[in-house]
Amino acid sequence: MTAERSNRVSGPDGARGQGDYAAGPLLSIRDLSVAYRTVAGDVRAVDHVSLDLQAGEIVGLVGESGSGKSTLAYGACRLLRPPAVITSGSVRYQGRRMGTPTEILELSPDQLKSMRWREIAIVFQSAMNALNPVLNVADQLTDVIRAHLQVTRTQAAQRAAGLLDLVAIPRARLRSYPHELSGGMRQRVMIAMALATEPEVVIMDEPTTALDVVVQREILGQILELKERLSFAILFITHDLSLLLELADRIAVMYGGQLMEVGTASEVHYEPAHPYTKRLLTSFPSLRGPRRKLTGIPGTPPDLLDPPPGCPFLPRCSDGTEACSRIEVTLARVRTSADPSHLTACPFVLPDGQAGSAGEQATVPAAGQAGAKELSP
Amino acid sequence: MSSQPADKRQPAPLDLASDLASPAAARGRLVLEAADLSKNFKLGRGQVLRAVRAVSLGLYRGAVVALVGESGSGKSTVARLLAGQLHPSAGQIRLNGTPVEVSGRQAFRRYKSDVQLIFQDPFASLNPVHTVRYHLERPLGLHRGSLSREQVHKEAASLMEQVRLTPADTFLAKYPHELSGGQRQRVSFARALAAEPSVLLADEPVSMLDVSIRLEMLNLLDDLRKRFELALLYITHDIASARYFADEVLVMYAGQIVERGPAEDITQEPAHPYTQLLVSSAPDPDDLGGALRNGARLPGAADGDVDGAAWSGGRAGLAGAAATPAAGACQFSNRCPLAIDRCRAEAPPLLKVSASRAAACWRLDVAAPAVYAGREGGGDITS
Repeated sequence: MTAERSNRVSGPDGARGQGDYAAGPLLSIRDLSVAYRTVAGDVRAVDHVSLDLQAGEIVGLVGESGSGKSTLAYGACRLLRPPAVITSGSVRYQGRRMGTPTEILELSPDQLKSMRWREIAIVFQSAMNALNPVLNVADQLTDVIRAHLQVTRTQAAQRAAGLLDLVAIPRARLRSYPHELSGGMRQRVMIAMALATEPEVVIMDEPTTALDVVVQREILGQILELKERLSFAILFITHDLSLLLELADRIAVMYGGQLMEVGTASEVHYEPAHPYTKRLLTSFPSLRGPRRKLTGIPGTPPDLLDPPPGCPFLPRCSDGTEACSRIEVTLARVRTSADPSHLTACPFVLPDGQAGSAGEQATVPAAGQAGAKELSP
Repeated sequence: MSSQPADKRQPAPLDLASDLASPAAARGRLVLEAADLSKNFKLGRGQVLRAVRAVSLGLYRGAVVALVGESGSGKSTVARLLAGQLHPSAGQIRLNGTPVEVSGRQAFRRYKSDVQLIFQDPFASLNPVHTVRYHLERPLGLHRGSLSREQVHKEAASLMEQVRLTPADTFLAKYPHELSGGQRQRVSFARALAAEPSVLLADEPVSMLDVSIRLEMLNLLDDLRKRFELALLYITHDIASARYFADEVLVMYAGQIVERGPAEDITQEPAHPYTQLLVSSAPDPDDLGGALRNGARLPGAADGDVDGAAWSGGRAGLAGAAATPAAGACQFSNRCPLAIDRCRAEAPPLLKVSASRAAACWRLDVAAPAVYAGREGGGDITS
């Protein structure tokens, strides 16, 4: 396996030695911007976003539809077609199998092809649409395996059967067609398919959104179990913050194409720094504990064709001031947080219960920038 | 999982839940009532899918009744039966005490002006070639026949204000594709209100919307309920929203109501093993991954293939697997960790555990000892 792997993965720009990798993030997205070119102008779906994914980590990306979370993930893998254009930034991938870091945005189509799925795989949102209705499970799995690994037909078939074992689907289901499987099983086939070539990064785009709570829970448990066993990193995209709080190590909150807050799950839950995060936390009803007052977030997301000046959340923000329309949205370190990697885009508001005097900055601009930079290698 | 002592012990008899007081009844008078409603779908080759089995429920003015369950449990079929879009195989629907026989276009339309349905998907339920104005003025014309053209215009504008789509004239001129998901769902609320119904059946009205919009829409729905004193059936798979929104919660599994009672009681102290599974599966943000990470197994996951079981349970007959419970058995028995021989032989009826609460389970004494012990007028529990 390892021999085939290095053979396939290393690009034409030289054989890559093993072992020579620094302990940097697995995937480092820097200053990435993606725009959709339309007749009416550019829709800035992702606007200067930086995000890191460490090896074996689960990073949750939360935001409402149209906030650019899928565009960010797909843009980072160059899966977008025109009219989507990457207008700035860099995406560095440094897999353990690869040696030197690779700049994904500069790869040739061939190099990209060998990298996709092999290193970075995606579980798409709608399993019903992502599976081919006229091929059975075995065919779809072996198709992936043979496209990305140099193996014989028999080896591929064996591997496909092993993959179903991995996601706890009986092998008899290999001959089933997608319509014969339940929604949960289909989603698990999608997960098996993503893991077919042992990628180091798995991007999961709302993998459980269409499923029942009971099935959703089963699958999340299974994802965590597989992650422990195969130690891949996950970028988990969802609009359900309550789910991420339980699942993710770190959470990135996205709004209007920009990141509003990045922090560990417990920071986001207990010390949310950005007003949007705070409002999100009060918008889902909780099943347990006392009944909280739910406020929701009045208003609608910004029109990205003509975004408001300054902070994109300003029109819906209850803490907004006139100054908010003049700020440039950048992530900076939360002043009151002990963790230098807890970042917020709001320079004015502090986490609850940590009152700052008026006019005092909630973030540490200079050190914050440094804090943000520290993450990049 | 059959434990000897429990088998030998004669369970204290629980009363059948025939005279259950609905917690929703306190809000207003009974409008729409379903009595032992059943719906069978013929699948061909002699197979029958029993989508709804003997469901009884009452909708009261100004009250919200939530119907909770997984997909395939028959929630939407109940809504379609109540909306008159399907004919029940057995049972009766009573509107204001009179049995309803929806046959023919006239009768259907008359019924519709009292009972309106809101669909789940606002992207599919609005006609893309018509403006919002058309969507509102057509039901106004159909159900409120005596209105003049001018009155229809005025009514449409006032409906838009009721669902807070203002300025009304701007939105009335728009086509569905020009609206966001939340705005579309507001239009479908307004369309349902155009008939001045007394009953609103909302089939997963917010599940297609973003989390940040959902709460606003539920609040709007709640507001409309208060303002028009609507009897509301709220169908959802999100039991947490039912806790906040509903007076009474009915939990459905494989076509049957397995537990019913006041929303807070059901969500905080679920008695039926299926409700317990549902509640424990809901994301728990305060847990920060403890249970999920430590691989805590769910009650229903004890036998592994929960999903497959749900598939065969929800669509009995289609999968035809051995795991499917027999027709006369408790439908949850194949996933239930507490199932005993009796569960596999005899389907439990809804048993009364308090004046307003009932659950269909033979093992309530084990599944929910506190609820069982606290039941009203209960006979002695022999042990």
